[in-house]
Amino acid sequence: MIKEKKSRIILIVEDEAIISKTYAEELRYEGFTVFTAENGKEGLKLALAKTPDLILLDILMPVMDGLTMMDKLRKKNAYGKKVPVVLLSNLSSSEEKIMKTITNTKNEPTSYFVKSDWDLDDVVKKIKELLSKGETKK
Amino acid sequence: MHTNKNGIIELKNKLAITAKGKEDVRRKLAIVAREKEDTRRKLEITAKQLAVTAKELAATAKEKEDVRRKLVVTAKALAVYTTGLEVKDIKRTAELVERVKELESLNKEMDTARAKERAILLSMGDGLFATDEKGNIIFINKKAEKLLGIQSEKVMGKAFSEIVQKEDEKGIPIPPEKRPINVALETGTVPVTPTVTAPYYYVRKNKTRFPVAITVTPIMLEKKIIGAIEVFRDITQEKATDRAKSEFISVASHQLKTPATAIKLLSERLLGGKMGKFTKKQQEYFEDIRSSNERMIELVNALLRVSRLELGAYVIRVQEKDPCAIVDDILTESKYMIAKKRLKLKLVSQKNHPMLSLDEHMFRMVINNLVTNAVNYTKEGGEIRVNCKVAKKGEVLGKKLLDKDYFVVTVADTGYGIPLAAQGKIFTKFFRADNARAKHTDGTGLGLYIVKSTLGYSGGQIWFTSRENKGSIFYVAIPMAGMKATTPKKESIG
Repeated sequence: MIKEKKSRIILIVEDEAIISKTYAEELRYEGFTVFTAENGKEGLKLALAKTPDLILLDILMPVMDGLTMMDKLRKKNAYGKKVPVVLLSNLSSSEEKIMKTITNTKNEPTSYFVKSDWDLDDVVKKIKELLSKGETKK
Repeated sequence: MHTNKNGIIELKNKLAITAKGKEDVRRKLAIVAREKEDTRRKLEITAKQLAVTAKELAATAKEKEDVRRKLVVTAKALAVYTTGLEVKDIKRTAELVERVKELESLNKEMDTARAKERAILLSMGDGLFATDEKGNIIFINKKAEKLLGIQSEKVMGKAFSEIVQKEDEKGIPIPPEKRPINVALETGTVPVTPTVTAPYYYVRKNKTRFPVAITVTPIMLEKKIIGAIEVFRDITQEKATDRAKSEFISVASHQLKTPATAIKLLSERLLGGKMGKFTKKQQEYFEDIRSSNERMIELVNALLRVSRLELGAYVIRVQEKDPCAIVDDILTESKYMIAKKRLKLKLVSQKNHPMLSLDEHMFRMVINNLVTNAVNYTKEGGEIRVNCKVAKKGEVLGKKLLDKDYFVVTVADTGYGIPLAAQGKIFTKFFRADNARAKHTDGTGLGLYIVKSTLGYSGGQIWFTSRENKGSIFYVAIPMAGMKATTPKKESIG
């Protein structure tokens, strides 16, 4: 059997160990290569080192929050500007700061999901969808 | 003869002579008598004349006496009058003095009162200033001087907007015509001023600024605006408290939802069969864990929505949308739930779908809530009818007369209905009718409260008609002019 093309890389930046683990295991099960980071600072470092195809990013985290990390990443380089980021948080999407971030980044692939409202299956589906979108663009 | 004769003759002569002398004497006597009579008469006349004169004199004397008496009387009267005059004068003078004193004391009192009032205004704990009808400062108190770092004598008669800069949260200056005091002067109304959630700021000369709560009132005199008065308070402290509160809510939501999310993800992995097969009972228990957890998430979401609503932090963002399509979408999503209870579902949608500017997220939440309620509170085999249409002003829907054109979604069921006694409270926070409690134990009592509050913010309406054991019809009306968007009042932490 010919191995599928190199598996896509996903970076999970999430401070809650159980949540991070569950996403990671589900995504590995789905065939992705997964890296995890516990905060924005670590996440930024890993993102730049591993250049994942997609980043799952929590917002409220110690050391550096997700929005700050995304901001730094977007400003860093061309890769950072283009990489799809899925903000996964339990903050309501009507929160002003999130809305601002999303509307300010119209040209950048940023999605937002409320964690507790999304089933694991749906998140995986969404990730695949986003990745295939990026594929067709290429 | 001679001797004799002579003597006789002589005697005779002498006798004759004597007779003659006698005659003479008589005559003389008569004359004297006559003279006497004349004199007497003359005297008599004189006496008479004298009497007349006397009488006249007497009369004159009497007159004189009369005059004198009159004079005396007059004099007395004059004296009396004079005395009277003096008494009156004195009295009057005394009264006047009294009045003057009174007035003086009144004046003093008024001065004191005025000074007191001034002192009250001057020493008031809140900043205060008043302007004339042109907006020029006529009074400013100490607190205002202190807060703004200005001096009363330097700003008197000047327009307030020239002296102190007012800006919004983001530091954008408020143009003079939008400043509350000018709005009050212009319109004579009490302008709505921003509250603690997004207050105005006053900028001091040294460029530091502070948030203020402002109350402005026009000063009316005989129905004319003669000025305006502004009371303002430094709300730095309240701002901080408010921020702490919203941060707490934000953090609490995250904290509460994190473990719930972990349970959700874990049970989904387990139930997905990826960790091996379960026994029937294990499967059942994990299903129970998942659904209980979903309920908890739902409740936390509801509580968060309520607090956001009550903090004025609920944001309504509008976009042109097809509401009929959204309703259709919601019903498709609810199909499983509806089929599970073997309910019949009918959707009547008008053919040409109107476009409406609305907050899709909010609209979905509202309709979803009503559909879920209809499913939960209708017996198996019942029917749910959903209707979307444009209703015109003047039309009567569910006993309500429409005051303008609305887009109306009707969700009707053949369910348990709302008891008459509960109908007035159905939109109250945490209220659940007894029959609802009995049939469906896990409601939060928050759904309709949230629906009504959010709709209210957007300019929409909700009402219903219901009969116990017959069913309910809920009407949601959104003005054809669209939902009112709210500007976000609150900054939240990220």
